[in-house]
Amino acid sequence: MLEVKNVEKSFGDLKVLNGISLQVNQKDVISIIGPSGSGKTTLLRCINFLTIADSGEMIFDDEHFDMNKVSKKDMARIRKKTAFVFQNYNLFTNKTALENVTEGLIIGRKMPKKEAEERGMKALAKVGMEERYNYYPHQLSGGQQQRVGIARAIVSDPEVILFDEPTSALDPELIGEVLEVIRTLAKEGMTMIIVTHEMNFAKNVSTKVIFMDKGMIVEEGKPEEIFDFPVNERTRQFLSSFRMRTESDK
Amino acid sequence: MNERLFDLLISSFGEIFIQGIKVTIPLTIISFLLAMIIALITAIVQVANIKVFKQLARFYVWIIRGTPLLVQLFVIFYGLPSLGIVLDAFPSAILVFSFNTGAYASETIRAAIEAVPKGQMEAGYCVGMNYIQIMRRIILPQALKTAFPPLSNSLIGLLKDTSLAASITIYDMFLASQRIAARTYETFALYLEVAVIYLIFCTVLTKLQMLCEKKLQIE
Repeated sequence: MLEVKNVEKSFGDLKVLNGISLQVNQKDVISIIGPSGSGKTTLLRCINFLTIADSGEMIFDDEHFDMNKVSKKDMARIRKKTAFVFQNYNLFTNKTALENVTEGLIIGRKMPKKEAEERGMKALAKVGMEERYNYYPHQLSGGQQQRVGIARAIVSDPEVILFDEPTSALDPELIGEVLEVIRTLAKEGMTMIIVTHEMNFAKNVSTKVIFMDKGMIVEEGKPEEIFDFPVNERTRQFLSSFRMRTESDK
Repeated sequence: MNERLFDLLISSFGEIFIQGIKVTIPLTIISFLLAMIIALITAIVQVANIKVFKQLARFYVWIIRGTPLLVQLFVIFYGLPSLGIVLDAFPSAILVFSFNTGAYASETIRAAIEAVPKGQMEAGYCVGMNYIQIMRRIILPQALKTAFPPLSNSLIGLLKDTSLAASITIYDMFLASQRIAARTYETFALYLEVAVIYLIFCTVLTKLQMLCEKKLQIE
């Protein structure tokens, strides 16, 4: 369904993405893990053109695009097939929860207001936020804001949702409610790419795990392969540092 | 205070105040509304980085901020006729005040737009909106909330600055007080009186500003 090939991106002298290729099939849940600065977020942003790659090819529903020279029109078209969930939620601060969810439908996709609001309420119900549809973002907790962020992503029936560290900005006690929502989506067969530091979650939910380091994909495979029998030394190091942290938390 | 002076202050109060209602307030409101339109356009062409227009906007702001308001009034009202362009005093004043306030206000609005976090624009793109839609529905409403207090400042400043229009023959509050002072020789009392009337108008505006800000906060 979606494939990117040889994506490269530099910020100044720093090569953030060094020839990344990634294939996404329907109902895939792909977790991307790796140390900070490994390029995970940049890869996700390049797929949605929030960052323009220096080079790379994208194949989306059998259409080919040059990721460096994609036209504004194609950009808008591809974005309408995808959705993005941000680390810091990025809810529209001047809009209520429901308006946040319907804004893109009504304004971006010209859907009648009534139909958009029905779909919006359904999406909010799915993330358990229908009772607070009238709240502004600043009246909601971080976890609630992120759930609205997810409702905003699913409301347009995207072919794939991109999650950029959806729980990294949350207090520990709020992480669970957001992961629960994502887990439900996975069960329903939603196609997703998730950049995350939640290893247990990645292991349980993903159909495929990708370990990135220094702008390259070091290792990829089924979750049990990556987490239980990592082949690459760097993957092992990274995962053991996580294990140590989890142990010391206990 | 002797009785004659007291009577003069009472009778002149009405005479000055009525010019405030008839001239100073309309001059302020019309100029300010035009200034807001000019400021919005000037700010947006800069933020949106529209070539040529951005340079024009910078040039306009540079000229207006770098020259005195009184001089601008004189150039338009006394200067332009020698080029064959004759404008009445009132339109001249509207022209100068709206472009003057517009230049300062455009900087306020530009800063407020730039203060809206980048993520708001990105989120807008991700839900399928285009630049103009995001600007109109998401960025500008947030920016105008930030810009509201400094823009109120500009409005209060403009109200007082309209007293300069007296120097291009506009019969406003200040010119009214000058005329009465010339007639009665009670300069100190009359200029104090007109100062107090300006203060009253500005106090009303300040109260209005506080009310509006409270309302914006609740939203």
